[in-house]
Amino acid sequence: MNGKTDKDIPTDGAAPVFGTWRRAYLVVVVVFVVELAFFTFVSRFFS
Amino acid sequence: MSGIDYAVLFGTILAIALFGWWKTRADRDLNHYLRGDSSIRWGTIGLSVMATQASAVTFLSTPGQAYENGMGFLQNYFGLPFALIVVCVVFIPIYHRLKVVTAYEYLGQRFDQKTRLLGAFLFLLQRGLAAGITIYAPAIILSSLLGWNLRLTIILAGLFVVLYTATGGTTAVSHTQKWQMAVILAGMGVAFGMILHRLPPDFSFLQAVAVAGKMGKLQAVDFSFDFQKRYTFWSGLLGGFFLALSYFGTDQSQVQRYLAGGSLAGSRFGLLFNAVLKLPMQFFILLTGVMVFVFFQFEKPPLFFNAPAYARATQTAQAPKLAALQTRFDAVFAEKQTAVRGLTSTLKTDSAPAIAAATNAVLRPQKELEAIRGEVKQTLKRADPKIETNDADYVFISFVLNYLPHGIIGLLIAVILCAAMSSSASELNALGSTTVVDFYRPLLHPTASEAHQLLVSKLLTAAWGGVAISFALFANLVENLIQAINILGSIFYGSILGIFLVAFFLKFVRGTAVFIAGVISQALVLVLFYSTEIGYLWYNVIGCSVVLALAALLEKTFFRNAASA
Repeated sequence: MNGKTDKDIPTDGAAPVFGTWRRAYLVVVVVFVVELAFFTFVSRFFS
Repeated sequence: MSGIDYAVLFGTILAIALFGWWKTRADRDLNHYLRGDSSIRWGTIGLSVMATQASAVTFLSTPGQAYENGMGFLQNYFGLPFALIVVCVVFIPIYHRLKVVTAYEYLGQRFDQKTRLLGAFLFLLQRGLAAGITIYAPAIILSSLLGWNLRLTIILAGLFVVLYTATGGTTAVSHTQKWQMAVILAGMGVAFGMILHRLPPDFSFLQAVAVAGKMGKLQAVDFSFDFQKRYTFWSGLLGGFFLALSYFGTDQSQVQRYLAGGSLAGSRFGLLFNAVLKLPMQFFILLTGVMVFVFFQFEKPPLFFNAPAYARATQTAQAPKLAALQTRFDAVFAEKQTAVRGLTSTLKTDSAPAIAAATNAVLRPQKELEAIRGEVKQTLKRADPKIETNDADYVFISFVLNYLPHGIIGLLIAVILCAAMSSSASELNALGSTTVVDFYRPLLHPTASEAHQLLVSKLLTAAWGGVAISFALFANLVENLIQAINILGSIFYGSILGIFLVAFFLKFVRGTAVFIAGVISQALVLVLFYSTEIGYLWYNVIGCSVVLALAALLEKTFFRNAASA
């Protein structure tokens, strides 16, 4: 066995670092928007 | 390649393979072999997921793609972050709660045995073929350019992977992939730095970016609704979403990566790591290709990047035609070189009309050069009808071999082989595990001891390695390798994803309805593949939609009485 039990597994409400998983997913979406803005800037500014 | 290149190359791949074997040499635990151990943290999972997706083809083809067509290919990955969020929210909690080893075990628990076997069978069919191509793709390019024996390259690359994958299982694969990814990232960083170093001394990085932009190579995002265009923001967001959802949610070669370690938080962070870093990584690889393009504005590129194929053509009756094309190419290139210098100077003036005129002065010879290259490809085809005229895969590796110093060449060949080995290892690991967990254990030997299952797992992983190597040895029947991998995935992914989405979201549908829908959907996709010219990415959408609609329809009509009985 790998030593993990159900007690070790965080529930949907508790994400390390971010507090909640919902906040972690929101950070991913925000990062995507920032990345998209950067790629769009590169496409338009240097064309 | 010099002695120092071979030392770096073999030193790197041997050290990683031996590390994988040594790390797991005393491990006798079946669960560790199939699922990994608790020492595997989210960082290792994240790099392992990334290494599985990034095959050798990624590093051979992607810079060439940018060299030819610019950075639009980046949009293919726009749906990936959202697909990974869905996998984190929907797929991972269920896999963890049920403590499954393979994704298809879940289908058995949600539906029935036959649906589980259908999902596992489709995976084995698709991945079994893809594993051969994963080994063959870099071997054919490296053996062609370096003069290595193709069969020996395939067998050696394959045996290295089989060595640590069969002996160490999931734990060995995850730990070796961490180091393989480190080599890949370091190697690509060094390559990027070397390209900038090889640009003219009076030419800055920003000037290089500006010239690439004016020549249309930095168009990374296209918001138009033009369905004729291969890469747009919308096709990337929607098509890329379905492709990534299917790949990360249901393909055991990925599922096994993020279930390693056994912690739900580790699985999720590993995937979110990829959701955040995949786009910048692809952007960087494409930018490397764009910088190679800028480099070849000052250094004359070859007429055709697959040099051995071109040399063979010059031995045929087409030699005079090729010589004439080379003369024209040289003259137009000299004209363009002057125009590029003019554009570089003009960009410093900030005068819009002057910059527009200088840009046109560059684009005109550039189009002429592209037309000459088109004629070259037609001539090569006349010289040898079997020749592959798409030389984009050879652009980056030709640059590495001809313009980078010894030592770095060895490191970058190691990058390509590490990428090939990391993808193959995940595939063999998943193929072996699925065969044992979904077929051998339930159908042939339900009462087998752990030691027996562990032995069978190792033997089957090695056997799949043998299948992949054998397929790679005969894979020269396949015309275009990258396309072959994408087509293979698209033919099977739609139906498999449809079955999983029915399992998650259509709770009223039961096993027989989804099984029949899955079989019909797969048959339909195969008929479409053989009888129509539909773009292969659409097979994902068609296969998935047919399973969802048909399973619901069958459950509500033919099997309604069975439900109430």
